[in-house]
Amino acid sequence: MARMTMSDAIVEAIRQEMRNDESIYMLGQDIGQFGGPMQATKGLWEEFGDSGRMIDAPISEEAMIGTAVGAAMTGSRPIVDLMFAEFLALTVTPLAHEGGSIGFKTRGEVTVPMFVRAKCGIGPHHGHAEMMAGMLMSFPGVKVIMPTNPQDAYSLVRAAIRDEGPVVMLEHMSLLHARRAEVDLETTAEIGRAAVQREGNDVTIVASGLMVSRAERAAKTLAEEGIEAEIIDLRSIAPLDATTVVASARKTGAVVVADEAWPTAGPAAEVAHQVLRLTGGRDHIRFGFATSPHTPIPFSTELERAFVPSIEDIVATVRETLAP
Amino acid sequence: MTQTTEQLVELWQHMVNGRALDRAMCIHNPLWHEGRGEEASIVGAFHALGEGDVAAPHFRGATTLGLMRGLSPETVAAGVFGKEASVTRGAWRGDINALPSREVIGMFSGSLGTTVAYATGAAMTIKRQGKPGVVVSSFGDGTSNSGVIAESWNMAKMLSLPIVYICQNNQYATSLHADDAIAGGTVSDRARAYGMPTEDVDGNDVIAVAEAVARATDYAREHGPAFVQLMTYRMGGHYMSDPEVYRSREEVEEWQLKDPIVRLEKVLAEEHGWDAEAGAALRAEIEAQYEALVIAAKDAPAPDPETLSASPYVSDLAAAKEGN
Repeated sequence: MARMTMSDAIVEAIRQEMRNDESIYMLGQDIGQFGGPMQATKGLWEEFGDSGRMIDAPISEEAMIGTAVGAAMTGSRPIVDLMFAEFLALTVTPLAHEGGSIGFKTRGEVTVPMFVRAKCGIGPHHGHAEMMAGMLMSFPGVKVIMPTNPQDAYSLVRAAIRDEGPVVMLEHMSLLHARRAEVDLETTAEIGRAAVQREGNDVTIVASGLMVSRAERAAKTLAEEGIEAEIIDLRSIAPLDATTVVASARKTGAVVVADEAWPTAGPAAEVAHQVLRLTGGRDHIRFGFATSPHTPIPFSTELERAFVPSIEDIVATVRETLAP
Repeated sequence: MTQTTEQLVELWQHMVNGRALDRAMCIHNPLWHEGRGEEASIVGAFHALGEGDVAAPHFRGATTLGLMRGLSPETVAAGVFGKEASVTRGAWRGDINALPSREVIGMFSGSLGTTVAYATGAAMTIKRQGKPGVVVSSFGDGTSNSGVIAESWNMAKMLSLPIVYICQNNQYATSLHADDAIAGGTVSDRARAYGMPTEDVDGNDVIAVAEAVARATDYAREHGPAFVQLMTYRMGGHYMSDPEVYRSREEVEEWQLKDPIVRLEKVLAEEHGWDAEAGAALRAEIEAQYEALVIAAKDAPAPDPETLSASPYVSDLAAAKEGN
């Protein structure tokens, strides 16, 4: 056990995996002596720099991902720090359209074990907040994880590095250097499993990233009104753990999705789709959405605050959803 | 470098096999992309690669490379038609990626350019593993305008990767002539700007191609990326229903006089005691054999959709079916 931030936990997981497996190397902008953007690779250069396993990349996102796909196909396990999730749009063909499909198209003869890190979300950086989650979810074979606490970050990163296909981790900038927590370095995780963060019988709030902690605070307010919310932290956006969501929805009879990503064809839409698909609408489950508008993310701090669902927005959406 | 008679006959055999498959596909497959005329560029570029080397062919040549790498013509033909007997058992199209493996990288979608990034990534793997291998990455003049090539070349030079980039310049990107499409001179001029040693070679002279590529691979194994431009010509259309309104009959006829197989046969006859009559009879025999097996491949049974799950992605595919 060790106390660490989510950022520390991610670095520790990468360090452990790199020590265990020589085929892992890391590529990204400013990940060398600089220590990584927002200290994303702190200490890794000191341990692995001399062996050439930490490669400072030029501003060439498509080639960063493209070379990683090629390296992964031929026996390496690359980790790419893409810095910010908005840059994922530059890499869609090699990462998602082709990279996600190669294992299927070759019947597993050729696999693409690569792990991509990308920061997103509103945070201290005041920019680069786009998540691109819906875009990534469209492509079969691409896994997308989004941890919300140091333990999950540590365990999911280890699972992601060991996965035989491409895994993208969305790192929320408001969570990376937030509270420290104990991390069990032996705990493992399975990608594709959500966690029930809080139990309740009246409404299911489905969230990921920063929205999980906002949902927790919303649940406290709601509890004062006698509404007990169950909170599901998706952890893995693709594949999405519909089984856990549906089980909770059947118990509470109401689902509120709290999501910071663009609402069209994204995680919120997919949660609703999966619940309807698996219940056929027969369980009379109500839906509410505390989501961002389908607009580009604005710059001004005030406008940005209005864009992202707040605790009050989540509380209000729950009330509306449960209203007779 | 002087080639022995046996080596030249081997080059002839590879080119004749490639041409025979091409000819039979032209007759029996309306979706075929003809490569007639470019056999010297394909065979000369890849025949000398050995164990530990990686070939990343241009799509117009992927089937010929499959044959050179020992795939049976029946398997290659099955891949072109997406049949059960192909390498991917119908999961992927064998005309643009006949033999997906750790040693052969080919296209994984209809997009052009990413293969060059994958080849560059393969060179990263080779370099990191400290092995003596080299990568040969071939692409067309049309593909040379894809941005990811510029990014990949920059990274290859920056990291001194063991890779030879080959522009298989057949002068047309579907209908757009290379002279109209490539700004700033030639693709070789661009390669020189990245600090790569470059050579411009007659791409219809298989001996010249083989020698130039051998020089380039020798350099690349020691020092980093090198570039070779092969000037050749696509004697057929871009695809079978190409109206070919963009070029004159005279132009095509002029290039027919430079047929790479006929040229090698001339060298063999004049300098190596080649029996032209026996050679012509053998060619006819091979062509008949390929036509028969292409017909058989076209009529072969389609893959069973149920077998799609027979890969390491069983759980992913099962989950996809369930909608999870």
